[in-house]
Amino acid sequence: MSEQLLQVRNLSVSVEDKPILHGIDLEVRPGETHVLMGPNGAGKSTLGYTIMGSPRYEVTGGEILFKGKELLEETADQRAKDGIFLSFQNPLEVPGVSLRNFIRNAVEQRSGSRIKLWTFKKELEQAMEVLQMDPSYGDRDLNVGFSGGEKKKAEILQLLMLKPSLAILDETDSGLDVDAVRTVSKGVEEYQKDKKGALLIITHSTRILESLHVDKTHVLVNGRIVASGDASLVDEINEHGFERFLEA
Amino acid sequence: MSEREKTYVEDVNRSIYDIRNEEKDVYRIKKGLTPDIVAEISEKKRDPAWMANFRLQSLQIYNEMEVPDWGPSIEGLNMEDIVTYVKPNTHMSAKWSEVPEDIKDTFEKLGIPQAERKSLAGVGAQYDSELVYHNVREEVAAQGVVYTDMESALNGEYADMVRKHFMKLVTPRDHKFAALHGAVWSGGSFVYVPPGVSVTIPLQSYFRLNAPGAGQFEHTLIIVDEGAYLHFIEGCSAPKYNVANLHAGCVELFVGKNAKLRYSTIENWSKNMYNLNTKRALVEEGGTIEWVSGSFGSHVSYLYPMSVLNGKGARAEFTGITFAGAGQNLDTGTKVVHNAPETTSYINTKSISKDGGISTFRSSVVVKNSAAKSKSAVSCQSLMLDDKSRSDTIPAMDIRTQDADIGHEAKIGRISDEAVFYLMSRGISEEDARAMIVSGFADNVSKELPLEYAVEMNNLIRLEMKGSIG
Amino acid sequence: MEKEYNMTINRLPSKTWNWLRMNETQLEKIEIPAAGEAKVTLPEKITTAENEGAKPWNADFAGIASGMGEDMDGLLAAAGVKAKHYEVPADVTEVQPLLLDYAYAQNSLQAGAVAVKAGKNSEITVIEDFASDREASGQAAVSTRLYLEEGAKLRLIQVQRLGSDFTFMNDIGALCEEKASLEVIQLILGGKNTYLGCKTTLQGRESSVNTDTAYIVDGEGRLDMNYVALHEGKKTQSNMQAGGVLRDHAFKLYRGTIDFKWGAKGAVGNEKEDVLLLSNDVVNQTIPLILCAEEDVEGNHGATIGKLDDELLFYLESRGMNREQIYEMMAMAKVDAVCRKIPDPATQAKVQKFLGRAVEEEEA
Repeated sequence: MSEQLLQVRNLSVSVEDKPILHGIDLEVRPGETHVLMGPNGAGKSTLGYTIMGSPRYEVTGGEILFKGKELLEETADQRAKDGIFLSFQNPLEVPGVSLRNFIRNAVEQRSGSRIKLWTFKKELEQAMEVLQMDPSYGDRDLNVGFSGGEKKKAEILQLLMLKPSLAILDETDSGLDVDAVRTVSKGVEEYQKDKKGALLIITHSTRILESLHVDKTHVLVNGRIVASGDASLVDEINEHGFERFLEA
Repeated sequence: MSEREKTYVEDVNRSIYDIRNEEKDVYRIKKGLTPDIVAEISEKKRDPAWMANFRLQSLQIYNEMEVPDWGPSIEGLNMEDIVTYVKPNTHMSAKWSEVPEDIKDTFEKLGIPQAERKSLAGVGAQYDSELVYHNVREEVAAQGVVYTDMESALNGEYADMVRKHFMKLVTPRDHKFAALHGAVWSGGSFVYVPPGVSVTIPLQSYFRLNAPGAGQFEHTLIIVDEGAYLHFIEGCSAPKYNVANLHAGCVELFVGKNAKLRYSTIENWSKNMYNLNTKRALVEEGGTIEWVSGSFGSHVSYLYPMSVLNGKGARAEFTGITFAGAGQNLDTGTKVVHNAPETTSYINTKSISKDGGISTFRSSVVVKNSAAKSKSAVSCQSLMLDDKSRSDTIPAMDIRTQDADIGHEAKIGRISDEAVFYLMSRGISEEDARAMIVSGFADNVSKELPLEYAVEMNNLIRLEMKGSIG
Repeated sequence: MEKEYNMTINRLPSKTWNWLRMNETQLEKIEIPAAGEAKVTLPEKITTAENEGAKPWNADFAGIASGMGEDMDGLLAAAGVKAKHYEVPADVTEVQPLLLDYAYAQNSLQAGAVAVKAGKNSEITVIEDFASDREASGQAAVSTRLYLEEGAKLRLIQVQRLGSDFTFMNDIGALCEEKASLEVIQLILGGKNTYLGCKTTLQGRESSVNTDTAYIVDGEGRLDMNYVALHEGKKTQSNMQAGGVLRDHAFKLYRGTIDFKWGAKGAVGNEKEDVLLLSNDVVNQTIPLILCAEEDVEGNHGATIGKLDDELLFYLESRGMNREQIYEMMAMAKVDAVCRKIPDPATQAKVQKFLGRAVEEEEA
């Protein structure tokens, strides 16, 4: 497939009148896995939140196309229905709504039709198994009282159930121990497996990438993409850090 | 520390506030309240006809209205015993050297002339019912800023402006003591800041009530025109007597479009004072009112500065501290009305109760249907220093638009034993440790005050905390 | 006998500005109802007793203060209501709930009273279900008094699913002795005018009360509440939570008071209110009091009113829901969270049915 899935063109973004991103260009094809790396405060998360449509981020220039369609006028729920997913660094707590009901609700929103309880239940259980989540988590209120690792798993669970065409993972590995990173990676691999879903992985470390296939790597510094390359760029950063790019 | 930071209040102690001067007033009206007495005040003050009439109407309203059926008891206040008008034996002057020696001496001990030299743009000093001193810096006056006593304003160049605004925001019908104020008011200040003028250093009025059994009813009217800025400071004190004194002042503030007014008060009335004061601000589009309010004195206080946010994007901030000690019942707080879209109010208060003192935080936040996209955040914290005292929190909210964001937090508690122990383990005495924690508790308020007043406030807290270990 | 009765109810324990109209509620010309009783499902170990006296309550209960106040007892007396008394014997744990079903007919005019005494170290759940046809009109009043002896655990569950033109007065008064704990779970889902009072006196040391109230008020509905936790004993605890949704032209007034009396050393009181406003024509009034005459206590109150937090909204939007759906979901979440605490599946199902949601059966 040669059609572009995501096209970010000359995108500039401000938060509370402070410019964060300056003229970002990025193209992602269906099924590709892109890694966005860079030091803290470079604007990586800003890019993820802007693609998802957070009202906190003000686009001051450029455009974003998704499946050839202009995105910027759309609200976050419309973008989600288009097939974009963002895993949050700090997923919010929603008392009174169980994880299971929430996912079912979201899946039905996405597909526009009701799904059978039994089908849903089976699929959810399978996904939970991949993530080594106890099925009882389904009954708990969304993110309420979840540990950091549990919240991340719940995000990946939603990713697996919603099956977006582009998933943006925002620092999904931060704050997790080795085992949890491995579990989360397994979930992401599962998503990659059928080659339909593209990934944009935002990270400042490389732990989550070890077991994943990477097509392209971009380095974001001070709100600009200063280098792009293939998976080998990850290894280079692994060895030498961001120094080379900081001087640029 | 720089020279500026070592100011007059460093060694404050209660005895300064308690200086009693021999009464040498030139004129003292009879006790109590009748139409004759009110007419006599009008005559003595050479009121314009409309004002004389206004006073009599206010008196009538006063007689019709009931005392509040909520709040602290004011049974100890008998209007028959209150002298409403006491004129000191002097005329208003713009030079301290012309102020009679004993009065000047009082103000000097309170640090007013020194502060004026150092850090104020203008000062008004009221002694009992009349101002004895009023002065504003030349460069401020040159910007067109008017700062004068109310009596001069009523008869001078700005008479129309005064008439247009006087008791229009706080009307005599507001409550019984607003009506009383309308009938017998005397003294106070008038300030006008023209459009776009920013008064960079504060103006201050100081109110001193010396006569026992008297009332003080000063009226403060401030108009900050479009885009202008002013910081106004108000200080009050009185020596302690065994008879009830009454303070029923009224403050009306008009904040124009995109203008900003900060109104700071350190109230330290003596503990025989009934402080039934009314303060209100009307804020136009994009304007800001900031109240900073420290209540330390008086026997009974009813004090709730109110902000009416009338224009789109208007803002109110209220920062307050109340310290109620032995024999005090201080009922303080604030009221906000959101009348227009995108208005914001931010309320942050602390109160401390000690030695049988009663402190009540009372508030109301009203968000009208016309105030879409408004925000309000209220936070009140109370500290109980012993089990003889009392602390109540009575915050009301009335929200009538869907599109509002309203948050409220209240906390009540005591000084943590662990915190005291921690400080003591570092070699600090228990008394100092507790004083330190209470000062820290009050920190957000003192931060909002000009340095001199912050120091004064901390000294007042220290003073109140002395010997509090029991 | 007088056919009409004027009442002043739900008085705020400490008054404030009268112009706010929150100090108390006046009910004028209330029709005197007839005495009515619930259909009772009596568990094995519970005993009943008749009230011999002339007053609504027997001696054990007469002194227990309630949230709506004395005028409610006046109404009961005028209606000739005498409370049904139930008792859980000491050391008895009754796993079956005491079910009181109030099914009101169209144009009902009824009042009832229930008193439950939970003996030392006993345990019981009381479920009161107030129901009528969906469109029904009428007026009903129920007063519930609870007396918890040392170490008793009592859970009171109230579900109100009355018709859209019903006026309902629901008054609770409870007294807790040492280490007794009371839990009150309330779902206010129907009715037009609801007056609700709930006062708990925490007399014994280490006694506690938890109240959890969820409501949906819509149409021209009015909900007028008065919750009071009176801390008298040492180390007493109260937790009052109220949350709900206002739609259309709904009016809601929540009064919640934590009152720490002198001597209640080590007491802790928490109060939380969380209201979603789903229309621009609602009136939402809240007045959360903390009254304190004791140093060694901890009191907290928090309220959020109005909109959902922006970040939460964005998070849910990013999962594909639009604002309307999110608000709807959050509204139901408030009710569901409280509904889940009901230990009786049959009652839970009644709630779900009233909300227009069939309970899904597990398809095997």
